[in-house]
Amino acid sequence: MKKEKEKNRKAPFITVIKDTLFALKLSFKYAPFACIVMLLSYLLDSVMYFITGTYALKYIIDSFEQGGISLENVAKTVLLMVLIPTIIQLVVDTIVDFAWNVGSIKIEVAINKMVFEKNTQVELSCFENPDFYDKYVKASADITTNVFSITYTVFFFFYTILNTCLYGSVLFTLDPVFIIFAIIPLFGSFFKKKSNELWHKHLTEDKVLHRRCQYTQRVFYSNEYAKEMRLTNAKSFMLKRYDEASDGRMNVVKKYGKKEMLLDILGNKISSILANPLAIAYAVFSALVGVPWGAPLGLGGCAIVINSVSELSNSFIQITNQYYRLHEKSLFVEDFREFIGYEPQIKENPDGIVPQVGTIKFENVSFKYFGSEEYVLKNINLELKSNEKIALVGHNGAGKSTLVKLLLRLYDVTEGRITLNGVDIRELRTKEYRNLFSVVFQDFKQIALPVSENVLMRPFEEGDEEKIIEALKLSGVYNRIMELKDGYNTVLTKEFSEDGAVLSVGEGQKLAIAHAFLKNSPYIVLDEPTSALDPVAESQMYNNMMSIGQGKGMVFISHRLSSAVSADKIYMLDGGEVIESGSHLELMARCGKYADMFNKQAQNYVDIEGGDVDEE
Amino acid sequence: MKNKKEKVPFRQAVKNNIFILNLAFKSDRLMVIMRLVMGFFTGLNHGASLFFTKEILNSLDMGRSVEHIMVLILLMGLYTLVYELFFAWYYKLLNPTHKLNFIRLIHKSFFVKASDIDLACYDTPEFYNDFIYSMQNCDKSIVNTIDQLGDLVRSLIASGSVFAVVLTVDPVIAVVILGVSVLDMIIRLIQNGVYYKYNIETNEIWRKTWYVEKFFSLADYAKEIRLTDVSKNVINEYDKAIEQQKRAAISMNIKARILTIAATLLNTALTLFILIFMAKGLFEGSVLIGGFTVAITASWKLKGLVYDIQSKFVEMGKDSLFADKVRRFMETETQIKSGERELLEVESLEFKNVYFAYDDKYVLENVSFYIKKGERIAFVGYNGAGKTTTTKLIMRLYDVSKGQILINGIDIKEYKLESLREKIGAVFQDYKVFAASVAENVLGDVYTEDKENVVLSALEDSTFGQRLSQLKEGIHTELTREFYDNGTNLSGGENQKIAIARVFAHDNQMLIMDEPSSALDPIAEYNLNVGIDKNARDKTVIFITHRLSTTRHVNRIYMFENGTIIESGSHDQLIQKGGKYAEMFELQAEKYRAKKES
Repeated sequence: MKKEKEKNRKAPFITVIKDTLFALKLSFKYAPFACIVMLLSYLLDSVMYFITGTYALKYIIDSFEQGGISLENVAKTVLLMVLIPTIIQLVVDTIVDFAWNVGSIKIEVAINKMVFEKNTQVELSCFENPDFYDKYVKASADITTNVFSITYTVFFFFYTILNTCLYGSVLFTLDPVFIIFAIIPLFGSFFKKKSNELWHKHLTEDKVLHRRCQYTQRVFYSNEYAKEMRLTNAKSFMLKRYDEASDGRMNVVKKYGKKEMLLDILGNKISSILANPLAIAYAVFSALVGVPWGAPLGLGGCAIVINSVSELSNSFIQITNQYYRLHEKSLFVEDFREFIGYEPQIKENPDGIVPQVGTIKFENVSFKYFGSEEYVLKNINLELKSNEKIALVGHNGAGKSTLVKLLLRLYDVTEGRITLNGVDIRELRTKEYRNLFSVVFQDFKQIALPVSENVLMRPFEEGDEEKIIEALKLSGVYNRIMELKDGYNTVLTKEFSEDGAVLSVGEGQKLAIAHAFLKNSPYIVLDEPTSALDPVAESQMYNNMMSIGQGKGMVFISHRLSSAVSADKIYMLDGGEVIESGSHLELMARCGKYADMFNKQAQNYVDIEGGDVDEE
Repeated sequence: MKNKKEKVPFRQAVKNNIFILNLAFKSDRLMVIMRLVMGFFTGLNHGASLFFTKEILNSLDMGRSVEHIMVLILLMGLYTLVYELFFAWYYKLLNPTHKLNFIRLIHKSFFVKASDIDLACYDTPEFYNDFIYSMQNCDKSIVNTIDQLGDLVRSLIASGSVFAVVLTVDPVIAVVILGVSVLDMIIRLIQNGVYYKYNIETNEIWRKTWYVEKFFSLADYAKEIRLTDVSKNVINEYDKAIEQQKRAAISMNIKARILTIAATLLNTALTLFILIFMAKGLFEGSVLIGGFTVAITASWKLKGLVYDIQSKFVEMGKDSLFADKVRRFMETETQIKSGERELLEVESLEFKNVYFAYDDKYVLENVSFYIKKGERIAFVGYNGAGKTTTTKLIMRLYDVSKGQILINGIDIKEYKLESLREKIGAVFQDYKVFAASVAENVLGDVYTEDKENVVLSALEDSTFGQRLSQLKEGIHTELTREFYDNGTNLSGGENQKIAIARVFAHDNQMLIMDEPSSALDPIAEYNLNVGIDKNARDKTVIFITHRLSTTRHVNRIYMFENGTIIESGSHDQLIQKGGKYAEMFELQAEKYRAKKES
């Protein structure tokens, strides 16, 4: 997974074949008929091209030179020779068009669904691991394109093979020596390989510099930086950096350009510069002077040689090109195969124990991210009864959010255990366990679905409509929603159309709360908003949140300590550890960190005569 | 609606392409000329290779000597060698450097323009969606336009030269090939129309499926997917979109298929005609074998060239959409112009009946206030009440729609923009940190050694000092990983401190702080307030805040609601008045107070 390893990745021959077969299997599995007719159409193309471009020509010239066949008969034969395959081709192509258009959609859908499914299964930490994300998610994002590309390349490979046979046999019957001329350019493939490697290096070096240029462009053009660009002189150093990066790119071209040029000629142009003229010279010589080992080539033979020797050598070159193409795609397919084969660590566990509502306990829980040395949470002990409210407070980065993710089993603990009613949550059915919670995250994302489905967060069922209306009313956003064009059927976000509604952060959060009302689950987890809301909205939000929590187990992450006050128990986290816990009064009496934090926030709100906080 | 807009009429497309060509020509003449010359030569090459084929075969047919023909073949080889060398030199060496140089020139000229245009342009979604995206990709698109043009020249010259060679073989064949090529071209253009319509129709579907792919692959929704069943709803949408796509694909196919059949039949007829017509000539002795071979090869070549030419037209049509956007960008006029006067001291700031509207909707109405030097002011109010807009007007990121803003009694439009923005420092809520060193970020300018102390003390005041001591390279530490893989990514709160240090590092006289502590936890917020007090001892400070605790000690509070100031006065005055401010304060304070008393 290390970067250096990425740079020099090369797939051995066997892997390329395996990956190619893997991709082909996918295509053939989901649209077998379309694939077969498509292949047939490629082969017919080759035959058609050969007949109309070369064979008919040869036939006419041969009949002319041999004599004895009337023009009328020649014309008839040519007519049949061209018309019959054309008609077959038209029929096959028509079938292919329909079969493949629908078939390719089928393949794409099937592969995408595989990806969706896998993305849903892998644990959340995979998404937060940049290496995993870059490699697998990107590989799976392009997989359909790559599968199609491989499929086409393989079909084209068969086309080329057939071409090689057809042209090869024509030239071979004229004089086997021509095959040698057609093979000469193949020696260029050694240079071609070098050239590809060089190009890859060139691109790798350029990529970094190009990325820098693009960043500078973003700074100048996008609105995120627009204010700063106007209020400061950042232009000065950003331009300097842009110039540096541009110069760097220029130097890369200069560094590789000459070598690339030479390799390009040696790798690709040998046939047109050397082999083809030689073949023609040989043909002329053979026709006029004659060669000792073969029948003299007629005028017609010469015409055929000129016409088709480059076709044959091109076919040979194509075959190597196709291999490079498959090789290149193979790397992506390899990543994808690894991704699809990845075993999620947090499994569905359908045969696990059915969870029963009760007390949740963290027992000496420690957690560190995979591959990291540092513990994010250390030795946490915590208890949540099914009718209790607990608050998690502390600095940014103290571990509050991670703790919540462990509670929801989005991650598994590194050490210690979390139990529900005394049973380790890892032994419970994952889905049913998670279903016990309603969660309102700070970064609630509106999904491009109707408002109603954003509240439901599951497929529609009979009688849901009333529930949605009620939930929207309880969360205080009903009136706002009904102002939208289609009420609660309005689609959110502008992803699909310009008519989509975009709700403010606060309104979005109210939808998340409405969802929690509707779900009516035994535990509620709330990640309190920090700054997006003004005081009145925040106060309402707070009351709303508290109202869903009536009689339920509730955990809230609190940034403003004023809301922690009403919790049954407060856990103060610092550096991944619980440093203080107890009720508000207990903690205040203790005069520790919590009290200090609370007083600092409270000092300006509390009446001057009542507070001596400034002296603390 | 949008679809109609996307389609550019032919004449407009030509105009747009000329505009781009003109722009490119002005930036880097040599590059454009070379590209077109290259197109010409590569085009000619098609004719040249046919010419050699014909000459060699005809010489054979006419019974010329071996030497004569060998010389011809040698000439052909030499010609090819020179051509290929030139070709490789151009594409591997000359063209890439030209392009890079060109891209740089283009972007730099756009950079200047982009940093001049009014901020207001960014607020219109049309501008944001169109312009920003186009500008990011303008290099590719402009280079592409020129490449297309070069290729078009190539295809046209190639067709012409091939046609010329055929003409020497047999004028009848030449005319027939030309006629069929034209018909073929027409069919292809009609077919393009069908594909175009299909693309427009499926655009919406494509947007949906793309969103669904994003939905599953981005970390954004990962939590919701695991905690709820919402993925089923999304898959449902996906399935619906795919069904729609299948239907559209089938109906498109029928039309496209009919046209393809027509084109195939046409081309087959042409091939047959050439074969039989030439066979006749051959049998009758009016055609040489060279000519015969050339005619067959030429008809194949032209078929490919026709395809090339029409696809270039399509591409150029697409590029012209983009050209339109560049043109509009270049024609955008800057409304906010700098004045002449130097601003030295900020003695007073006055709003006189200021109105401000975005798209005819007033967001500020009749706002008036007067701030003296050294005062502490707070703007409070609900989200969207107009607080941030007010500060943007002070910085002249926008200009007022009606009314006046005066500094020292003089309209701010009369001051030099640069000196206004130098004397007044502003930190906005959506601050941004640049991929540059800490020092450059703090200075907002190029770093020079004499500025070291300025940077250090600004960072100290913005409470970044402790974090700074952990950075190995101190103020030279590279921020973000955009440029260097070992760059440092700071947290939201830390970035905010850098943004605050940016205003501290300047010799300004007025500070505008828009929610300066929103990303900070309570203790850090407290420390920051101490830092602000220290740095801004003699300065005028305007705070924008939701947290009413900060407003307690200011000289005056302006309470905004729906774009107007509804209350103003000191904290105590406003509390006594018992209005909206008092109500808001009460809401926040009650929880703290309740516990304190108990």
